[in-house]
Amino acid sequence: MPLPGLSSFLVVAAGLFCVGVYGVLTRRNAVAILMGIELMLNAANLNLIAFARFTDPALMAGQVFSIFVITVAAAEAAVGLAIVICVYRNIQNINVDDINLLRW
Amino acid sequence: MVAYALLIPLFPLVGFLVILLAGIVRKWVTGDIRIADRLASGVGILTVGLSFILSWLVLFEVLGKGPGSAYHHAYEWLDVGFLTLWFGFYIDAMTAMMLVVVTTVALMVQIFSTGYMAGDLRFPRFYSYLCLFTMAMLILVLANNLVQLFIAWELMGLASYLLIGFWFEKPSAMRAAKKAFMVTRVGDVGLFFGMALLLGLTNTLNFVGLVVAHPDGTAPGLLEQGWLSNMGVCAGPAILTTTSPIFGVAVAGSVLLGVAALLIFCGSIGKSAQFPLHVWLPDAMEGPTPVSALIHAATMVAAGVYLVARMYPVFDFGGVLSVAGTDFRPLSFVALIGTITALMAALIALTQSDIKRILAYSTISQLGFMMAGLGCGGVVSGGGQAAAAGAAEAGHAATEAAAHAATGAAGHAAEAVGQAATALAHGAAGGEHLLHLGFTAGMFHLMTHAFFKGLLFLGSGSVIHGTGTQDVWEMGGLRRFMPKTLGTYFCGYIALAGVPFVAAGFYSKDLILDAAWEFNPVIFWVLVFTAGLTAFYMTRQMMLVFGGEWSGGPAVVQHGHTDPQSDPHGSLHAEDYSHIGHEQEEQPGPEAVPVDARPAPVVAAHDPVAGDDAAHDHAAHSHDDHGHGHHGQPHESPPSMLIPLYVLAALAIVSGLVGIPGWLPVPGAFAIYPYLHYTRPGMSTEFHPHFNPMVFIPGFVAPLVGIALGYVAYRGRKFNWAQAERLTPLQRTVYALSYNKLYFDEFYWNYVFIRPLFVVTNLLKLADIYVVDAIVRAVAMVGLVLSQVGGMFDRFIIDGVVNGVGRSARAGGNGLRYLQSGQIQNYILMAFAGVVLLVWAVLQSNAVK
Repeated sequence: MPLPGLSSFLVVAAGLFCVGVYGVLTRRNAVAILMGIELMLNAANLNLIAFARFTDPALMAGQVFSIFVITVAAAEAAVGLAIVICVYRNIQNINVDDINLLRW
Repeated sequence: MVAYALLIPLFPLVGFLVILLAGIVRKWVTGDIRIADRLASGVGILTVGLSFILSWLVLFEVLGKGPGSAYHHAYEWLDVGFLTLWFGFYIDAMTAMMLVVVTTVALMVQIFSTGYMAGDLRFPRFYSYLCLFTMAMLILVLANNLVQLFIAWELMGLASYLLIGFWFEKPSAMRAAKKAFMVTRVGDVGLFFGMALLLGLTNTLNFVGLVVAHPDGTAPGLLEQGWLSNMGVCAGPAILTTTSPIFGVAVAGSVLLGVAALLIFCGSIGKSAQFPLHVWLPDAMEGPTPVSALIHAATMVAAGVYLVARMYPVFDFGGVLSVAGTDFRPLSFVALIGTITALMAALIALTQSDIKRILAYSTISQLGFMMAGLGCGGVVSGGGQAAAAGAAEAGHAATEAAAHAATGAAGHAAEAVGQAATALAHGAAGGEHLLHLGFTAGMFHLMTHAFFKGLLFLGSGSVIHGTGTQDVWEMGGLRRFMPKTLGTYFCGYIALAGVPFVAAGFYSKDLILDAAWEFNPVIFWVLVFTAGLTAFYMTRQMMLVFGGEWSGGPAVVQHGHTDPQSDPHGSLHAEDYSHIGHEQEEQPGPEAVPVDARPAPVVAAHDPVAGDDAAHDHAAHSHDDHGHGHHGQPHESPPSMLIPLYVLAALAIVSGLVGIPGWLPVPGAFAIYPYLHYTRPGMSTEFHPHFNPMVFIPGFVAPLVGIALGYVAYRGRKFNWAQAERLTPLQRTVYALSYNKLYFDEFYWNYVFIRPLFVVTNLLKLADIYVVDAIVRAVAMVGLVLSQVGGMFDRFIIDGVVNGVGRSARAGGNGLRYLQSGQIQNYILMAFAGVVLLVWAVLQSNAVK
């Protein structure tokens, strides 16, 4: 089976990203928002790998970079979930609409 | 040669420092202050004693080398442009004599003070001051330049100030110290200007090369090189040309030199208490009596005389000013001031009742004698007596001519007129003529006076110590209680009174009279009269202190007299000066009126100064007899005080032997002259003294007459001016004049220094109020208006801008803060929208390309 073209990858990634953005913007549950962020990050990873494969397959720079992104994403998720737990302990709720202390 | 001369002032300096430390130790070791006291006096006597020994060695060495020998050694100190200042020593016979005089009197005073000052609160300090003074005076006489001399001069002023005010708890002592310091300062300003002028004229202030020849003979004194006559060719600043314009007036260099001499003499007037500036010396008697002996009688006040003697060529060569046909030289001025001082002070001394004040005025008088002696030296043109004789001859001839003219004998008349002209010419053309004796006489009298006046002051200290009073009317009959003091005091008395042939004072005074006769008969007769007065007031003092019966001391005399109501003058005086706020803490009570003048109203109408004096005396008693308390009977002083009296008494008698009149057929007569004399090069130093009855007889008779009158008047202490009711108004006025010191203090107070100062200040105050204040106020008003305008600008423009900025920022913030919703998803949405917008913009721009 021939390899699909670059654009197919990019379209999938763009779709994935849009799903992520939509999730982040619309969900009220903080965990769901974190999940949206993960989706966006993965979309970015997909782009990195696709470009790496189609532009400079020998160098593997994209692949390495995406490994880093995954690592950072894991850390981000850990920190994010920790914040969520903290928030939950304080207000017994993780609805982001209620977390608005930092406003005018 | 005498390289060890350096050590002479160094020893007292070391003593000064060590004793200061002793004082500190005394403060720490509070257990036994006597150890520190003994250490202080021991160190003082030791160091001054070493200087004393060295000074005598120097004297013998100088004398051994013969007349005219000198020693000079100097270290370079400052090198400023054309001027090089040296710090060094110049020693000739005059210096050696001064060294011996200073260290001898200083040593005697130090020994005397161990007894007199015993138990004083600040005993070590007293000794350290004495050492400081001795050091300064020794540096002064050793100085080889005017700057060094001036430094020592001021150091002595300081030491004098410290010692006059030694008992500074007494307000009178404090004031006396200030007065002494400031009055002498008036003269010192003149001295300083004189030094500056001299420097400008001659380029140097070193004695060697200026006023004295170099000891090697390599460089004779500048003034002696005929510098004045060759000023045009002499190397030096432009001012040395024969005439130079100053302030647009052509002034001859020699006249400027004369001005410099007179300015230098101003310093002497202040330091030696001469006529206009003598007022500080009597007040200086507030100091402890040994200080009066050392500083204010024997040595420091002689520094002014020494200065004139040292700068003698400057005075001698200084320009001649002709006033109304009379040549007026700087030295004539010196003689005039000296004569006035001598007479004035003797007149005042006649009536004083404080034993120390009598001696103080006698000191002023004797210093006047010295100045008069110095002034009657140098070179005069024509020669005083010769010119006078010539003039008289001419007058006689002229009268003759007139008489002949009247009788019509024309030929005779013409002949007589011719004679008159010749006689005048003879008088005027006497040529330059050296007055040999003046310089020698002045310095000789300085030496003898130092010894006998130091003796008299120490003797008076012994009397004060024994009786607890300073008022001669409170003494009397002390010959029984203090025979040893009397014996020594008597030696000083005959020396000062000038009893012929037995004591030093006669010889030196006679020499001054000799010199005065050579110079000017008026001065001669005034001095003879003064000599008589001197003998009179000294006899009065002797009779009042030692003669008669013991009056019972201060308590008896003080309270046995008048009741306060009968004294109408205390109030007068209080009103008189209260507005100046002067010395009101010492209201003169009834006891302030002099004992021997109490019933005479005109005498008692004195002012605060006289009033203070009596009050001072009583304050002084408590000090001067420190610890002894008032005892019924006076007592003789301890040996520590008597031994110096013996030494000085011996010196007061024998020190005159070096100046025995030259015409006496005695070996060694007039031995002082070869060592101490002044001459100009080319003029013969040969001097053949001859017996002149016109000089000798008045000088012989005047003291005897004075003594006789004094003895008759005060025999048994009966002649008391308390019986002044019987006096004529004229006598009363004269007495009041003398008792109140010719009103010098009042005159200075009312017309010279204090009152005029107040008048001027009041005028200035008015100027302040109406002119300066008005201007200040106007300026303030303008400032006020301007600042109000500025204030408005500030308030409405500047503040408006600043506040506007603040307000708009706040309003903006207020509007924008609603963006901060706290809804995190809003933020994300905006960020996303921003990204979209950005991407869109980038794409748009790419599309345009």
